[in-house]
Amino acid sequence: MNLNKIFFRNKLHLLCASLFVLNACTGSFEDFNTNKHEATDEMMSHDNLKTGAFFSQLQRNVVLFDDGTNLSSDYQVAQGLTSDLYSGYIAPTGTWYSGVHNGSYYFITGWIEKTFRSGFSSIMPAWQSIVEVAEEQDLPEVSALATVVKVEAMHRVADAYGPIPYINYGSGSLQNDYDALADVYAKFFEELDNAIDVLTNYVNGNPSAKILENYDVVYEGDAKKWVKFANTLRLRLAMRIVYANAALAQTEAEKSINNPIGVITAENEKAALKHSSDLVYYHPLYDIAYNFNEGEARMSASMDAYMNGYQDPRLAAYFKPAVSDGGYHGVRLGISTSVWTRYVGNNISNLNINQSTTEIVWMTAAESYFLRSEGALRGWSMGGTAREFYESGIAVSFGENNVTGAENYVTDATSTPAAFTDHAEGSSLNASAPSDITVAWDEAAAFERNLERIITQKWIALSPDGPEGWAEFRRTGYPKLFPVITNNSNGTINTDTQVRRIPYPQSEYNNNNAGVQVGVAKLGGQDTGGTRLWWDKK
Amino acid sequence: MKKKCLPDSPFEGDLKKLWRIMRVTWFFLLGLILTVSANSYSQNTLLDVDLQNSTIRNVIQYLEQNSEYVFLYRNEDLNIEKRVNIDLKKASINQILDKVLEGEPVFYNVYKRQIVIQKAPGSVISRQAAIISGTVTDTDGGPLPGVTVMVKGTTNGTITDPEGHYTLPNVPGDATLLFSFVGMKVREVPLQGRTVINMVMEEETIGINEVVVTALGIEKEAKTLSYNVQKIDAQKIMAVKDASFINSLAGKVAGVTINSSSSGVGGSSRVIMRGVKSISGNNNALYVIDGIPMPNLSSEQPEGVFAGAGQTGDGVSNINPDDIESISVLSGPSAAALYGSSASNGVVLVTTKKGQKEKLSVNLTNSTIFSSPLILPEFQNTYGQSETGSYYSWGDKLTTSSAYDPADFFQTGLNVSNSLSVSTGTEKNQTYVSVSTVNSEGIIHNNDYDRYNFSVRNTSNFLDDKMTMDLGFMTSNVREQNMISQGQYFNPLIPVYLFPAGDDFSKAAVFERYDASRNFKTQFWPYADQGLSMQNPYWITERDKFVNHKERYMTNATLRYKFADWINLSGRVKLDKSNDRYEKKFNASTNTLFASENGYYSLNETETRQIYAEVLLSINRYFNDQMFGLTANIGSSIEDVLYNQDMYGGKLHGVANLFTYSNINTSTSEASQSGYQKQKQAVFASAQLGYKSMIYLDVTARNDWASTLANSNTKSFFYPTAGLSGIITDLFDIKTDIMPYMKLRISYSEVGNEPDLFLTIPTYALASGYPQTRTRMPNADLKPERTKSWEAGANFIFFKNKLKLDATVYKSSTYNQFFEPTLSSSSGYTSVIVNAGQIDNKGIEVMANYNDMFGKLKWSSYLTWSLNRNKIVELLPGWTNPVTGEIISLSELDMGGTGSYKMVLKEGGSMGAIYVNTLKTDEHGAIYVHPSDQVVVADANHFVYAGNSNPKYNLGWGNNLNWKGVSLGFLFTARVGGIVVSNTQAIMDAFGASKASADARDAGGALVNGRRIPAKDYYQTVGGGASGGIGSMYCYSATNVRLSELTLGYDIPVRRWCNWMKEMNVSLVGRNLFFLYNKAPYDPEITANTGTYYQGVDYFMLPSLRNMGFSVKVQF
Repeated sequence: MNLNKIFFRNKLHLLCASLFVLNACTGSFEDFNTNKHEATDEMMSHDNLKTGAFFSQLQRNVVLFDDGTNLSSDYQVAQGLTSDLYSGYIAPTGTWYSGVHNGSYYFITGWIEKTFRSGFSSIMPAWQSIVEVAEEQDLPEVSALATVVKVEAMHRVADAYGPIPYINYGSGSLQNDYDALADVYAKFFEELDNAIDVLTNYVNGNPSAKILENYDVVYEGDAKKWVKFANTLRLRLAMRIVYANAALAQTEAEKSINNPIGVITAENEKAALKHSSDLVYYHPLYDIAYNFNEGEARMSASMDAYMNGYQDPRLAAYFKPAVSDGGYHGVRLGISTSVWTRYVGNNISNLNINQSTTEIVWMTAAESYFLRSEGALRGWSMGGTAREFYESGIAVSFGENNVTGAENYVTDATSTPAAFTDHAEGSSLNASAPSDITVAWDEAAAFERNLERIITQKWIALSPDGPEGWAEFRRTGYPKLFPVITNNSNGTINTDTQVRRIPYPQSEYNNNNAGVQVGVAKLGGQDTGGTRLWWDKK
Repeated sequence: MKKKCLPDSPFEGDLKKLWRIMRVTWFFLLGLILTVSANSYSQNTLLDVDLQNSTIRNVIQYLEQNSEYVFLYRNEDLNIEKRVNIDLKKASINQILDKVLEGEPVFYNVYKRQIVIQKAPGSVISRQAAIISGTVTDTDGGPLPGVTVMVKGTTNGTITDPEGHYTLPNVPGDATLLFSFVGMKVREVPLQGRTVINMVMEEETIGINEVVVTALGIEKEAKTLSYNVQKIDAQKIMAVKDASFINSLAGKVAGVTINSSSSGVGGSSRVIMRGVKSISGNNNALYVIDGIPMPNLSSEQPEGVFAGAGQTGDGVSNINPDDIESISVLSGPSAAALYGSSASNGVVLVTTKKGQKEKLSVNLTNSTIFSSPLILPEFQNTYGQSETGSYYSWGDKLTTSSAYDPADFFQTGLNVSNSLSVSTGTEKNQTYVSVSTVNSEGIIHNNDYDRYNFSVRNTSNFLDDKMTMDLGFMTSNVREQNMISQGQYFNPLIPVYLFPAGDDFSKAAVFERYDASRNFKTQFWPYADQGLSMQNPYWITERDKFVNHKERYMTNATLRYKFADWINLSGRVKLDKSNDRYEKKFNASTNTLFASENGYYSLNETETRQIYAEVLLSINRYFNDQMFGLTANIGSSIEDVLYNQDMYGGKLHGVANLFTYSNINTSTSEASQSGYQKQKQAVFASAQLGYKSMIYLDVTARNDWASTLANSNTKSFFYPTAGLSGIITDLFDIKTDIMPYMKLRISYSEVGNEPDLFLTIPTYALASGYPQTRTRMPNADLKPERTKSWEAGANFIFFKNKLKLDATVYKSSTYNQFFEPTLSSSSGYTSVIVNAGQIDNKGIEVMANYNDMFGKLKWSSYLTWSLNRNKIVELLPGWTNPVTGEIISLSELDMGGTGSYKMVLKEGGSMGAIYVNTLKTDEHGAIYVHPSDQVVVADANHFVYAGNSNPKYNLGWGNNLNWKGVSLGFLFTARVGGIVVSNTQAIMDAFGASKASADARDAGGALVNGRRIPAKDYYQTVGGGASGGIGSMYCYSATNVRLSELTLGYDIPVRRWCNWMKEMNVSLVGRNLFFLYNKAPYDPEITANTGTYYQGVDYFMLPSLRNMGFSVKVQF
């Protein structure tokens, strides 16, 4: 018994000691709780990852694609079911919500927030991190480059919604007020002006130097090309506001032309995500048109009318002929989904996308010419005539699509857009020709007629860049697009003037109500698809 | 009077020893009831016995069968395998027993109809002169023979004679006498100088002294507990076997809601106790096997319209149900506080079998069960296709009804399980070995489940029985194929349910046809995928395979050293290791969404390794003249979990149907890798102080150090519980025959919960080799989540132990929830994890048992009733942004769903709230019908509250009737309240495949606002395409009542014919047989998701199963 007691006492001591030891052993807890499959802050300090990796992130989020984080379906809800439709490039053939969705002007809340979210949670934080590190390391050219890409991404967001909480971004505040679109654009110009100056100086000082070469999948670090892109982007944005602030538009546009490096002129200067070993991807429209339920997008009726009317040689580059008759046949926007199988069937043209060669294009070289053409038409100093630029734009577009015959095409003064005939079995949502605009330049024609000509050709050349096509349609009214068959907007969107913007995400009303209310006030109208943006003044 | 007549409600205790105690008690009680007539039995009964070369066991069995005597003895006291020869005519029981037990170191006593055989007391050592004597009687004043009277702490003892007298020489004056008798309460009496001690022994009451397993595997008497523990004897609930044992508990335990997964045999189960508590955490109960918490092996769950194929079972589905001895359910967190965090959702404690002393027993069981769909949607077969080749059935009425019946697609499911167990042992060493197999074919071809279990357990005593070592090893090997729970992807039900009755389905049966250009057979499916990722249903079942191989090994060792009767120290270690391989193989010509033209292959391997170790010091002692009893434990544990996952896969490149890495197209391949290690260390203590075995005070305390808190401001967290219980009938001495027992109890508890992994040390996720900015705002100020709960309860026994009633009311509040409110993305972040919110649950659990005899018919019945109310008290009332100091509030959280259904958390609402979208309404609130087009219009974004997925209450009513070895058992379960939404019905309506759509057409249109409008347009709008239509038109009451179990069994009296067989039982069994009431188009009790959300919705779930079969059990 006594022995036992002693034994027991010792055991108790032992127990207490073991508890103590056990619980002192929390030293490896930090190691345990660090994710071994993600990069730590220390690793991020290596190889300039905080600039390089985030620059890569910027580039991957201007247009979303399947990159390991985003999916093709993210592209689809961000632009495949908004601007790609409203620009008249593609028509949705998915079976969602009995056809009561974006395609018939009934906005699905889960879809319309993607553009906002990718802009603010992928683009802006990456840009902010790059700028912070670049400032620390005194690399203004890196910061400038990031700013250019940011503006390229964020103007798409601004052009979709209108006022956005852009200027004071990064204050640390979780609820931010929205800025008027005019102010956002002023900020864009300020940022671009600065960035272009910095980059121009950099190019002049280091003619052969590259910036972030290993991370740049657009220009492989070629600073000169970035300056050209930035100048063209400034020209694009300048033109966007021409009906809202003509003087500022002209000033900013001419700055780009007068920059010593200038705007994009050559096909190889277009801004696109290059297929390479560093970036293996395919265009998300491939998944959407071919893999998602046998195709949730097809050639639109408007593309059908214009390109068939002009017998445009780019038709075969853009679309696949319908299996049944070898022709190119599109689909109207706003069809009822109960007949959708007819529209994904053999009578309709699918998109022509090559998985390994089709690039995601931010800006074509052709666009640069069309912008200058319009500038020249407006009497701005663009370094040439409207006609020269117009015809070069078409030629460059043909070249970009590896299509010949531009010489004949630009002289065609007779072909006009065709009437639309619905080729889907048992469907007859036909429409008369949307316009009678011809291709060939007519110096004698009125301003408006030539403007339509420029924008119509620009629209064809931009395809399938929905955000730009839709923005230009809203700004100029061209090309004339077929209206939706069914308008489920509950009277908020006029069928003829078509959709002018997309409403703010519901999540902003939930999480940033005061901010978004300021935005609605600055929008100058209701938060619906029918309210025109600040630059939409024509 | 055989032991089959004993109470066999599943809720009675059944540790072997305990069971015997109960047996005695039962007979005592019967004895009391039958009173005098029984007293003369022993004097008047004369028997003929002629048994040559029989074991003592056989003689006893013979006597039990041929008389009303019942024998009570402990295996260790009596060598029952000894062979004897007896030939006596018209002998009294004493004569027979004298002969049988001749030469054995035992003696016996005949008390009424029971015969107690006990070991003869050891040699009496004389040390002192005091002689103690006295008489022992029962509460009726009758003498009690055979009572052991011992001097405590010595081997000095004796037995009372037939008059209840005893004499004990040489007892020191300060000694304590111990009186014990099987079936009676042990009494301790200090002599304090007295020499005559008369004692009145009290019988133990059935159930009250039931021993239950509580936290850490500590056994306690149920009457001492301040919280609700429901103990279930595994044998009894598993009359109708399920591959996953937890499903057998449905309806049998109060306070627990069990929903099985729609993925079929071997699938996961959703086990929610006392309501869902955590917004973002796991709400399923914790499983604890032999005192050691099991790692969470749950898998990803479908929560939208797409996913659902390739499901896998959870960790408990790997356990062989036949290895389970008993299950204790601790539905409240107070009971589980000692297990820490994961126990806040309640605990299922599983005690596995071990070898029996000096007894060889071999058990063989077979269960063969056939299954078919319990309920299918209603189809139409009178309207033809919209047009040739169309999948829509909006065509003309057929001249003759189609013979197409989607039910024909299903096959009869078959589930065969076999198990063999051997239990053997000596006084010092016991061994249990079992093997079992489960081979199951689902109701869909190629949905297979195969499981092989092996377990071995050895318990041994050494060092003078002071040291006990318990070693166990269990392994399971599982193969699962094509477990589908719901969704569009790889779900054969979609093409089957929607198939146009006007077309010929037999075409589809030839699911692959020779493709000359490829020189092999490819999928035949001329109908396109209909926006639902549809494929040929036979192609899906034959050529798109999801195959899971899972291996699990559990090894454990326990060493316990008993310093004295009242104190021991134990150490426990367990290694639980799982290796799982999940393969996907899609053949060439599978839908291009999933595969290239050559197919798809992926392999996902996961490894989970848990090490748990614990030291525990246990004290169990009476003090101060037996006035106080103390049970205390102090211990420390460490739990270390390692998880690794590696997956690689992609579309096949060069060779069709060659499923290997080297054939994967690297440019589109997918790879993922994840893993973690987490550790939790804890010290804990519990103490229970009892006063006169009438009042008990229970306290526990635990402190956790969790690795998931590393780098945060909180290093560890502490949580206590306290409880008080009192046996009112004893305290105030108000025992009556009507209510011999009443206990009241109350307890308070707090349980802490740690945050999720990696939150405290933010890192950067990679995409294609490039780190990405963080979308989640870092927040180092994380505190543990806390659940505080109260429970109060009462346990009653009425009418001479016939009726037992347990009732508990509880309220719990879970604070400091970790939840992840979304942020305005204008902040640069999409979310932040904060501590906020409060979820309350309150409810009532009632459980009643009734046992009675009507002649030879024994009836036992039980009723369970569980009511829970869940309330979101607050979500994020005001969280201060640490950067700017601004206050962020959130009163609503969208938890997602399908296009027409979602779960939304709102302050003041409940965590089961279902919201559905609607049709456009007019200014009066009536459904808007376009005046000229006669169509309704969808308002797809407009979600309204439709109801709650949680039941108002659940009821279970089970019965067992037993008559001469024939037993009949049946269980009705009911769920009352709540709603479900059927997207399946909506989509069937849209395609014109439903009976409803045909009925509307027959009636001239769909009835809206009292008028008929064209059916096709109506149903295509409300049923609307792939997204599930308009939810408000497809809400159904989830109330249902069913016959959930039925057994008819017979104990074949094999012992009459052969000695070597002890027992044999054959039974017809049925589970989930039919609904007495159900208004939903599917079984509302199945779920595709066993997590917290995506409940109460059907998107082409596989139907629940009606199971019927038989089982055979043989014991040697």
